[in-house]
Amino acid sequence: MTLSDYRLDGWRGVISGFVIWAAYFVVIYAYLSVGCEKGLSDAELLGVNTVTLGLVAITMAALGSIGALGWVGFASWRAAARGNSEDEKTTAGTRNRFTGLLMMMTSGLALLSTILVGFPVLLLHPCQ
Amino acid sequence: MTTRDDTAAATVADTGGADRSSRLHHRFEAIWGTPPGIARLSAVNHTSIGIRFIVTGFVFFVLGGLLSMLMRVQLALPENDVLDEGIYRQFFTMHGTTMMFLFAVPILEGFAVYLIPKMIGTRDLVFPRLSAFGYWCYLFGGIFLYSSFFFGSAPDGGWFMYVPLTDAQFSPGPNTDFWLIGVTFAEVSAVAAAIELIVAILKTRAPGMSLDRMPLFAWYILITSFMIIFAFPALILGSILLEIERAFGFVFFDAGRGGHPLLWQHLFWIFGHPEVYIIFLPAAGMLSMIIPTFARRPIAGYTWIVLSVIAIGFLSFGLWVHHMFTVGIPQLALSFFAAASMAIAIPTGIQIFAWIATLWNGRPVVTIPLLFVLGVFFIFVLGGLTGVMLALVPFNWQVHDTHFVVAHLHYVLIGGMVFPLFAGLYYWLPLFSGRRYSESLGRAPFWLMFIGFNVTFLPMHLTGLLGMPRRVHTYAEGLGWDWLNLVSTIGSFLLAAGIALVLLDVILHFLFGKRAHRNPWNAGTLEWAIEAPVPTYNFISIPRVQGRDPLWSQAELVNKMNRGELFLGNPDSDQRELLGTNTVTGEPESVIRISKSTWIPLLTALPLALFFFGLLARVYVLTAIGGALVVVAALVWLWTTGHRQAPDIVDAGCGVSLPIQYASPQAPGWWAVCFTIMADAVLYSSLLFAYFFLWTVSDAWPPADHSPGSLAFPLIGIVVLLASSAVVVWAARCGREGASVRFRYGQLVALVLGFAFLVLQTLMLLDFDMRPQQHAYASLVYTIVGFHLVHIVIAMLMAGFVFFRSWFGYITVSRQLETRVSSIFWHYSVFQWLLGFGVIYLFPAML
Repeated sequence: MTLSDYRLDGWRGVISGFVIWAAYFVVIYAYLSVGCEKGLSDAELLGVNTVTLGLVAITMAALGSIGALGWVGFASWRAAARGNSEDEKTTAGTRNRFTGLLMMMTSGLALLSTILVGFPVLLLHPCQ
Repeated sequence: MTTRDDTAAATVADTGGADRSSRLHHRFEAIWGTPPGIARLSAVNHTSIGIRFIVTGFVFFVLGGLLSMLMRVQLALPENDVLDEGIYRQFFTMHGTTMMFLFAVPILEGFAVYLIPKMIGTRDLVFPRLSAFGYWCYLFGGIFLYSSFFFGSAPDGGWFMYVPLTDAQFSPGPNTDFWLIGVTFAEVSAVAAAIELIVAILKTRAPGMSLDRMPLFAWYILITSFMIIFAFPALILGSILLEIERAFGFVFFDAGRGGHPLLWQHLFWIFGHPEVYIIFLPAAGMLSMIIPTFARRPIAGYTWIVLSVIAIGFLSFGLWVHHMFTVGIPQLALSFFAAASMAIAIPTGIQIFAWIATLWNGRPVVTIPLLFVLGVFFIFVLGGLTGVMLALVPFNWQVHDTHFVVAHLHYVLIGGMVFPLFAGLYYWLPLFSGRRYSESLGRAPFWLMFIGFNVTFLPMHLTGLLGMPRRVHTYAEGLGWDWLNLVSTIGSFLLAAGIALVLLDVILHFLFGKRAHRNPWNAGTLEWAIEAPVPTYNFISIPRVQGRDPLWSQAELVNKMNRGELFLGNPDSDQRELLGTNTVTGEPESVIRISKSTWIPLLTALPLALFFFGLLARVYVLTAIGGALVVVAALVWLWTTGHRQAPDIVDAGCGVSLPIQYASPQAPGWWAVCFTIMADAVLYSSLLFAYFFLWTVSDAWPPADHSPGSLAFPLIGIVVLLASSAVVVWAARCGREGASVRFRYGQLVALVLGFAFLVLQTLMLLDFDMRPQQHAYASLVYTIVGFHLVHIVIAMLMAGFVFFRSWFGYITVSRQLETRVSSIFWHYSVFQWLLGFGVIYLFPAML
């Protein structure tokens, strides 16, 4: 089963992108706060501050997860659109197209928000 | 004495040759009607409760507005002495508190309570008693707050009540206590209404109203209600912590004993920033209903608008630190919040473009509601743009705590909430009154409000940029602020005159307005399928909808509905019945029988008021009596909710038979308890956040002189609790298999284990080597343990309740709802302590 075959039905799919964004936001803020308060920023790995490295890793994980969800939404939307062409007004077809499209769109916006929030990690020292 | 049946039968006989629709109307009116006279106070119907919320909200709006007028008089001239500094502090605190907690949130929830059932095609909200209880909590909370003026002790710490200004040392009087207790009381109402609205929207939409066909207002209210569940508990927790610090000397915010004042700011703004969107979103929902009607075309970009509402719901929780940019947080952390603050402009912009596109592609009719909408475009967009400016950290530092912020927040809140509210008020007036307002009379108040608003608040951007701070009761001459303040004051009188004229216009329309026929705007959504003024039952029968604007696409819908040909069109059961439908598809699943008028909500809210009064007066005997009476009232409330004789399967009309809610796995009660647990989990998470926050900022955590006590009691406690959960699982299985005696034994064993746990926890606290007054660490340990013990006591009360319900035959093999509710709460309480145990015992050992 590939990612395109996977379906996340109804409301779960619609909110999942932003649920990951919310978790990401809490985790990076908590990690940064604890890391700076408890001296994690003193250590380096490959010449990069460990707090920064951790933040980059968390951001990449969030981007990957949200991107995958967006792809699932896109596939769901396409599948619903294909299967529904002869029966435009059936409730199930239009509903699935709606939730698939919405899942793709919410994931897209969550992805953009993650990039916006995560980008300064590359520019600023974590604890100043 | 005649019974309701007699009345209904007589009515049917009297009407004789009247048509079927009229006969059904009388029969449903007999079932759903509100009793006359003083007994009106026992009404629980959503129409009555919604109107009460709205009227009370407007009363508080006027009170809060009068306070602001007096403040503007004081600031009109430099070195003015109309109000002294102390009174001025009380006025600006109560102005903000009133507008946020007693006007904006309750009135919007009032509109939602009134409108949502009508829009989604149902007859009432699913928990009418809870609606009424919420209203009384709101009213009593508001009275609590305003009663402080009679004691000369109105809250004076600003609407966000920062510590240490509001702690026992710097604010020793009852001013702060009035705020903490009054606001918490009112917040109970907001959370109750939110849970009820969520369940109503998810579970009682008209058949065929799948998620993609929901009216946009329902989407907005759904998301807003979830936001309330996630945001309000943080402030409720903060208020509890500050009150027990003030009353009992616990430590949470006192830096000298391990606490930290920033903890309050975090808890406040985790609530406070989403609060702005909690206010904006329902108002934006009104716009999304009004604009298509007056553009005379369906909304453009329905899916885009749903996207933006969901996005705002989440993103708004990532902004709270932008209120704290000046407190010394690392710049990278500030950049996270600055980025999120700018990101939220994207979904907000999407909505505005969708509204403009709807007007652009439609054939707009510029009525008064649409005038207010156009006012929103101008004012709110300006406020949004200054919001993006404030999201920029360096600019924020420059204008922090100046009148620039005052200007920004009023542009956002009045533009984003008050103008849409007035648009909505004019738009839905025919539903309330059955009359139409005068188009010519309504234009003057709009222009007065619009011009007055801008004349008041536009100059504040300048006074702010010139350095005038917020919350100063006067200022020296010659700083360049004089004429700008005078202009603001003149503008504020214009604004007030406009608002007064709107209220006068509304009163006059009730007296002299022309009769409105059904659907006077030719709108597309279901609330306009109802005759105006609306009958108490809303719909004679529940229609099946086939699109987003059923009144535009289903020509015969109203006639069929009124002839009782659709769902639940038969009043023979003499019960108030709703149709329970699927969360996603909107297909019928169950029939829900709900409460008729009852005094129980008022009789539960009154002892709760006594409970809070005891806390305020620090007469804890009253608190205990109030608390005990609340428990008794709640038990009576719950005991009288079931219908033992109701059949498991009932006829829902249209040839469909459905299970009654007690026998349905999709019962509203189940969903409500899940959302209640969700809100409680946020409360508990906020408490754990307090623990970890203080850990990060402390030098030694736990304090150096603390020695961990014996682990014997806590470990035995964990074993006892886990055993109790196993027993509850076993008892529930016995119940499902029909072994009711074993089921009841199981509840008794759970009760015994719960009691044993209470004893063990008490012993554990006695063994603890610090008092909560010594250090924040000890305060948090006591609070976490105490918080959890309250849950165990509630779980035990629930277990005792289901024991007796089983005994008296309310719980049977097919009716498992109460067992499921009680069991999930038990398991949740156990899980809560697993976390608490980990935090208190395992985490310090890992450090």
